[in-house]
Amino acid sequence: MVAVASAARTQAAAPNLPSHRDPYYAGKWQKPKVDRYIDTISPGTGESLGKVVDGSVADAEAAIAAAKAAFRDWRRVPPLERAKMLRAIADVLRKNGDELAMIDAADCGNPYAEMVRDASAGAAQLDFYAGLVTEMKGASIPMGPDAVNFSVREPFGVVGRIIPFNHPFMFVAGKSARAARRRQHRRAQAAGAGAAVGAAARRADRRHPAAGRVERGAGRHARSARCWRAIPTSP
Amino acid sequence: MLELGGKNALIAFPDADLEAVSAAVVDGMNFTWCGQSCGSTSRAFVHEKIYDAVLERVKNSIKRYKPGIPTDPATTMGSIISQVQYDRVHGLHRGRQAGRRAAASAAASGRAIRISPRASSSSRRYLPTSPWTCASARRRSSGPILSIFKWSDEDKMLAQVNQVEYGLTCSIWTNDLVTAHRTAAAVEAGFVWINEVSKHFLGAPFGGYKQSGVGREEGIEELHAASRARRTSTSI
Repeated sequence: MVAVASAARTQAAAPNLPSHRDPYYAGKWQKPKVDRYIDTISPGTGESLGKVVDGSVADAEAAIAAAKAAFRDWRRVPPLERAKMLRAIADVLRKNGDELAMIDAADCGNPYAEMVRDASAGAAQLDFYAGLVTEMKGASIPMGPDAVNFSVREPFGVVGRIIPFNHPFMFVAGKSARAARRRQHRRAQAAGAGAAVGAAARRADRRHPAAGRVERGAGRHARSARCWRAIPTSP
Repeated sequence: MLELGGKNALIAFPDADLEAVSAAVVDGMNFTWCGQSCGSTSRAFVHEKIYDAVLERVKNSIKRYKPGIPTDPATTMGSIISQVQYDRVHGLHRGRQAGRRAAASAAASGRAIRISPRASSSSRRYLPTSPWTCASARRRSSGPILSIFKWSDEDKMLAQVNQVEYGLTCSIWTNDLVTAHRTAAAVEAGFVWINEVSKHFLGAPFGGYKQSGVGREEGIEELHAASRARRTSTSI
């Protein structure tokens, strides 16, 4: 899909809207499973920001399957490597803070001047969770001299997060960071790793065309780019 | 794990710093995004001794917001997310006006007002009404509707604070340490500020009581929520 920039009724700089409006998973832009596009309306002007895919259940299922497949790679990435990737993504957010803020302003209606802080807030969350990569600790349980008892924390697996409409990029970054930093313990039997599906289900009656942009930048830096998803889905 | 918003209270005790608490009543609303924020303190309970003084300052303070086109860098208050939400907020606003009429004869008017800087400057209204006759005082608007209540009896005030089905945040303003902690323990809210409002702290668990959600975000608890414990026991 080609972006259709709205003629914003303002002297302000027009947002550089994302050119891709399709689901993104398994490391690339995908054709939607159901060929259905809807207008996304800029709350500030009431004008269309162009068409964006109306994600379907089938799209979500495909993204989840891709995330599950990514476990195999991701679980082998050492925790400190993961932390490095998260920090690299944080840097991408910081470098593109102004551009992201302008897209958010057009897309969700919050003032640009304030949304500039969202990129740094999202980056701070990525940094914070990068710092927690070694902190998902279990416990040792004293049971006397004849036994060794300990517990480990095992991730459940693919995690779906619902992103609220009011701070799109910040929440995509933060909520994905929590999931992606999770460590797959070597002993754990269950399939499960830190791959995340950040299902950007917009609960307001609109879509968020811009979610994929963070991931595209992130993908350049993360070996396992498939661990970063934000797909538009039906509310 | 879900964080689901709130109809949060700000509680001002009579010893609170007047300027600071007045600023917090405004800041806590997050008018920048039209109050569309889970943690917004959209119910302010101000003690009768400072009520008038706080009200005066709040009225002046909210004038600083500049509603406008969100992409304009000069704009400091953006848009409501959609027509559906806009209509919903206005529906609560209209309900408030009806409630006000109903309450007028009960001599309850004057106990609370609603303030919304989104109303055009010429029609900016501060309407006295009764706290519990209007939906906008109890139902979550996720819009720029702020209710300010006057209180004198602490027990009654706390009962009203806890009466709503939500319990995400609470902002308490007092310079008395005992009062602060007694109140913090009495309110049904997952995230309590004392002499502070709105701020999030990375590492501090954020989440609510009751219908405000399950689980805690923004800290290691969030990671625990997406994982499970498995114990291994070895005999030696």
